[in-house]
Amino acid sequence: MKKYWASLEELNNDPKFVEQAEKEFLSSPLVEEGDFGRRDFMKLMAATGALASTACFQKPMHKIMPYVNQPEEVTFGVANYYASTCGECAASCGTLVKTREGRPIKLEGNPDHPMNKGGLCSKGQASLLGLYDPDRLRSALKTQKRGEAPSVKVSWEDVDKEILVKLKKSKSARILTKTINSPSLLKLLKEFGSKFEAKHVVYDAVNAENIIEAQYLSYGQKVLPQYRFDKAETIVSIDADFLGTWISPVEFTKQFSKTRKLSAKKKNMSELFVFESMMTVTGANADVRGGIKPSQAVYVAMAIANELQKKGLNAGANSETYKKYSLADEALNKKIKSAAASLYNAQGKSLVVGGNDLALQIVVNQINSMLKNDGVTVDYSVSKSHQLQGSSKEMLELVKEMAQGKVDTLIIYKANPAYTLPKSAGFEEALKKVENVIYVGTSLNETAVLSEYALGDHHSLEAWGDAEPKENLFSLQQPTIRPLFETRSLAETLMIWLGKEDDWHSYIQKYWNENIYKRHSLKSSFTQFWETSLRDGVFEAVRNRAQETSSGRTFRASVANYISNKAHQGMEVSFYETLALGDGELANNPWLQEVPDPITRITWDNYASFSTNTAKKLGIQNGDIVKIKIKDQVLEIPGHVQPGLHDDTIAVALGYGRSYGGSVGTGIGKNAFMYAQFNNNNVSYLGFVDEVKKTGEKYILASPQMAQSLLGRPIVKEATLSQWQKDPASGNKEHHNLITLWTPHKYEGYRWAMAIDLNSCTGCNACVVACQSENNIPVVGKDAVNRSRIMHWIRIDRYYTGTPEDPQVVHQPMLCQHCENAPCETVCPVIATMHSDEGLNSQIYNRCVGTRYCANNCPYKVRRFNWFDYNYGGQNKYPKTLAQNPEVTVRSRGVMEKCTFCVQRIQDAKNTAKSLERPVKDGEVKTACQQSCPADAIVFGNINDADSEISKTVKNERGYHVLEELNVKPSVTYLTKIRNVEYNS
Amino acid sequence: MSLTTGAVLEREPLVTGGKSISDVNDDIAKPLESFPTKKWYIAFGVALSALGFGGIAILWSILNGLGIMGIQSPVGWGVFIINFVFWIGIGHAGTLISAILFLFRQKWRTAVNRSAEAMTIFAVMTAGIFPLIHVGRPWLAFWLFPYPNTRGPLWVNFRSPLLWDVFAVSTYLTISAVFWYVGLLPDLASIRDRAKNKIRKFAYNILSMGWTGSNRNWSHYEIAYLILAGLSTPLVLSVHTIVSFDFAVSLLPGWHTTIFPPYFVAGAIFSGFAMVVTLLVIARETFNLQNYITVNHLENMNKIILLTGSLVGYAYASEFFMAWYSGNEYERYIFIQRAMGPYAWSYWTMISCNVLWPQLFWFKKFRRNIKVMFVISILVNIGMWYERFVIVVTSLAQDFLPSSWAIYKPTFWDWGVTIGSFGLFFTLFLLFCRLLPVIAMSEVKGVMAHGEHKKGGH
Repeated sequence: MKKYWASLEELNNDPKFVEQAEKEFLSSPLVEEGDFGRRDFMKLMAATGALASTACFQKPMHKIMPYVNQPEEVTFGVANYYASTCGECAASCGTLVKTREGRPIKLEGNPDHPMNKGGLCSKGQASLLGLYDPDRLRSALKTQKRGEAPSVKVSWEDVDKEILVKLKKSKSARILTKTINSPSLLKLLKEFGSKFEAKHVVYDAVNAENIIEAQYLSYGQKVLPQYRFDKAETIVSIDADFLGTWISPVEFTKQFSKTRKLSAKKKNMSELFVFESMMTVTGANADVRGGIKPSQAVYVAMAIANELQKKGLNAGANSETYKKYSLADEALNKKIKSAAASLYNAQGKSLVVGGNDLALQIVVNQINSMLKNDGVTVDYSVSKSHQLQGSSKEMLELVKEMAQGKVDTLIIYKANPAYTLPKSAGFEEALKKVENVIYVGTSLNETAVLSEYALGDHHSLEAWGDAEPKENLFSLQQPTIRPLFETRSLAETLMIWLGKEDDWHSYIQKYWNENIYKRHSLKSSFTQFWETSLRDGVFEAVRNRAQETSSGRTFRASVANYISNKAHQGMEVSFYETLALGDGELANNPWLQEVPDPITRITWDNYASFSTNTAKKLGIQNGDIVKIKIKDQVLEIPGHVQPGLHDDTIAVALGYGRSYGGSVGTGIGKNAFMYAQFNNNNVSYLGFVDEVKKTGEKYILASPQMAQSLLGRPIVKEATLSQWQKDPASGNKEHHNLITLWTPHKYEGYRWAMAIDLNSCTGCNACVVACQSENNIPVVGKDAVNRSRIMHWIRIDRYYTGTPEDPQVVHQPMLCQHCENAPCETVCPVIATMHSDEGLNSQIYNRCVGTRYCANNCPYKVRRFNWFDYNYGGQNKYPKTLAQNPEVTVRSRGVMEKCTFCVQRIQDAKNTAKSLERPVKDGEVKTACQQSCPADAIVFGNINDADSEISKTVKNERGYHVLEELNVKPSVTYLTKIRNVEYNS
Repeated sequence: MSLTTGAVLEREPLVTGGKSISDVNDDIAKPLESFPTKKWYIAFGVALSALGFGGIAILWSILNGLGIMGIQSPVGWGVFIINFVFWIGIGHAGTLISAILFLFRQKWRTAVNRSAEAMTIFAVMTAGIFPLIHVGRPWLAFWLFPYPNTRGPLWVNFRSPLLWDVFAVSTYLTISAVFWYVGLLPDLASIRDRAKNKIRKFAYNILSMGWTGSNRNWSHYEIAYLILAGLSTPLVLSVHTIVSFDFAVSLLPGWHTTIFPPYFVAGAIFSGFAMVVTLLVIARETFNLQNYITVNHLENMNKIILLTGSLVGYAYASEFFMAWYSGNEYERYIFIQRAMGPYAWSYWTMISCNVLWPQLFWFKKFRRNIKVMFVISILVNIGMWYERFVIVVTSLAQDFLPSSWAIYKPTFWDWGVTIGSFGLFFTLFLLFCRLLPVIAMSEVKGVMAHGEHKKGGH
């Protein structure tokens, strides 16, 4: 074919030409010339616009990293529980540590532990937060210059090298610790002591040394007995707050509450007489309570002894001494007489306990001997206590030695004498004379800042350990998380300094193998024994310990030698421990600072409590600052009016006023340890007051409860025991015949309900902190508490009845009542609160806009509003956030929250039940408050199951609903309080 | 009718000073057509500063959270809700004057209805801000409106009185605004016709919606006005009734009472009229409108204040009686506490301002004395604010369980928001005085001696 061509390019098949010729149009509407076509431009612009508009709303991303190698025992979303031992105080209760994805999120009492049987106090609950305390001592620190606080980080290798050199040179070393009841650690300390000639000094600021000493003087045996409240029908306590702070309060509460339960089968309950200087939880639960001066305690005991010998019991050589003293107070004498009468009738089944005073303890011992309680309710052999072994006497001797330059090396473990010893004891000056001071502990406290080295210790949740809180009762402590910081436990450190090859874990194992395993009666291998013990957390070397009794010992002390000749006239200060802070070690724990005191209901402070009469006389109102002159010191502290105090008693709490207490605890309240009575090489927590003056200044004491009285409203109902025995519905007669216009809810399947026994509840606050831990409840601080914005989902209301001089106390836990006709549900405009088909009143945080109408319309005022952003702000800094429960939504600002009946636990139990294809069993769901309650006051369960415990409990004649007349039909039933007294004021 | 009675009971003229029809336009349009006076600038400056202060307070609360306010547990509602109810109450007089008095052929209303209606709208607007900013998450406040949404759709809770509030207040605001605007049309046209400035003419031309003043215009206008008056009338009663349900439907002692609806409506009219008197006394002095807003007008309003004030006083007494008679201990306690408890000062402020001082109006001398009525009208407003304070706060502060009681103390920011609400209200009102005729010119002309229809009214 002939080829026609139009141009030379076409003829030559120029590539440029070919490219052009293949296009249909020279200028295409689809493809435009240039790099950037119109359509491309449009497309790109549209895409850019779309991207830009979406990108602007993108939320910050947080990457979640899965395990590379998932540990065998960890399942996402499923909690693991490990049995362990609580390291918070010397009581050493058994715990269950709940962990999620390898981090502890909740502590619970170990139900298999024979001491606390599932209960755990507020301190124990709160120790979880101690693990994640941002102010923890995170590594080993050294001072730049002696006298300055340790601040330079040193590696553990250097620490070991330097200290070993010092230890080798050392001629007289001392190890100062708080009570240690870990048998393995005690053995290790002994080894260390013999190698480096280091004497072990045990010091507890608040201790029981006089109990031990009095046992020695009375019976020739240095022992801290085990008190058996569960076997006592009459209990007399003289300044011993055994339900709150004394030796082993959770265990004692468990024992005591058992004797107070009433049922169709058990028609009787124990009788509790309390004579005390400060109103304590124990006094609040007493049937008969007398307010005394601290120095009067021994005279009260002697008066009881005298009454008993009048009834024919033999007081032996002390008979004349008891006759010599008498108390002037008629009302008090009447109470003493009735206490003695009750004791007399319960010989061998009663118990008298007393505070840490030598003379008092000797008299108490004699009373117990006279009543043949010794060996029965006072157990001095089978399971004697190892819980509180510290002594201030030994401490003061150590200070003396230090001052004389006799000590060249001092290792201090957790003890904080710089804070707890009065200034006049001269600890600080004496410490300067000690060449090497090594502090081992979890925080840089008052003592640590005076040391040369401050070595960061593991938290008890990070370390191996064991305990023998009672003779023949062993428990294990296992780490539940890898240490968060570069810390090392004292035991590991000592192992290294001793040059031991193996690690601390195998040391404990070895100890158990050699000493404990052989007492194991079952024929299993040690490995099996170890694993069983580790799983159970506890091993009892004696079977049926509870049934063991011993014969009574011969009492041989002469009381007259220990009594001062004249009773003190005038005012006295009683320094007492609070439930929350104890000796102040836990001051940096915000949960404990914010939990209201069970009696005064005040948070975030200590104060001087005056009786109502004295307050009136001195013109003191709550918050008036007073100056109390004690010897040559003046304590300036806000005053507080406390019903039930003796008119000559001022009560001030210990444990506050920390100067190096961490970011939370520093500077809160006044350090009352500084004012303690200090003589004869002894410290006692009372002070003789020279003068009390009002300064005229005002101070705010923050309390979530302002009104003290019930105004006669039928909110708390009570009866006496004899009334109840005659008619179980006594005090609970008022009921209303109510009708409703609403169609009642249908509850098919489960219906959850709760019952709270007011007779069991001691008001100890364990439930409050347990709930806080379980449900991620924020801490709001003093100012917000004062403005009535505390966030606790469960609170313990405290009301007084009777006269201000001799009040009776009642505690009422108050939480969302999960009403059937819930007034909150109808008023919410956006349906953010709903009734579930299982009877729960649920709050939908996402839906809530925060009108607060529901809270206004709640007659129980249990709803809590997030006034600020409590969770994402500065206060909740790492690693504190790790303590949060991943199963509970963390609430944002502006939404309402409240008790959910631990819906996450219900759901968990339902899931388990579903996978096993059976319904949820009774007792399978335990709410956090119920679980922690040492008094077993709370029952929870499915009320649709007629055989469940809750179904039976709500049918009890003592059961009533608070504000029944409103017809809101609460799901929480309260059981009336029963007092074991003849009169009822 | 006037034929038979007119000779015997000749009413005092509603417009005095021998004004001609053109005088009406000149006098009333004057503030619109001249530069503002120094007094206006000062007043506007003060109002605007107050508004700015309130704006900062609101912004601060949105940034930080409601915690900066004094509310707590158990007093979950404080100054915000007090202000809400207070301003809603203020907003009652306008519609009552323009709608109910219109239907009752009360011709004296013509001099005051425009400004009273403006006041109503501004008060309701001010009130409307509070429910939005008092919620914890104001950015989600729109969830209170039922609208099809992607969340389910998730509906609102029709059982909640707060939701009824949303409907009642928004309906009231809409109807009041429309009613007011329709009434403005002839006057806007007059202003347009008088305008010499192009922009001004353009603006008023648009606003007057092409009003020509034709017969057809007028007849449509009058029918529309009558229908709107009919629609507004029940709203006057319903709005505050529903606002009172916020309290009455709940179960708190002192809130849960059936007397609340009529008591709230009476109180609202009471406070609304007091506010009208306060504003008109100022307006007639400032803009020289004494011949249009005469002492007769003010006296009429004072009579209403006396009536409603006594109704409110009766309600107070009745509440107390019922508290005693019911035998309900919580109710009794609350009422004793109101009079003798920690908030007794607010209770007695309320009683003296609302019940005692208005009793002076039994005397004609006081009813017609400008100074006396000015002071009393302000006292009534203070008293009515405290009435809401007493209702909202005392019941919440001391309800069923004594353990949860606490005292509510407003903070700096609470007062900031309150002052801001007055700022907003007065800013809007002062702008209104400058931009729109404060008296309904067309209606006033209808009631002047020579223009009076024999059939009365329109």
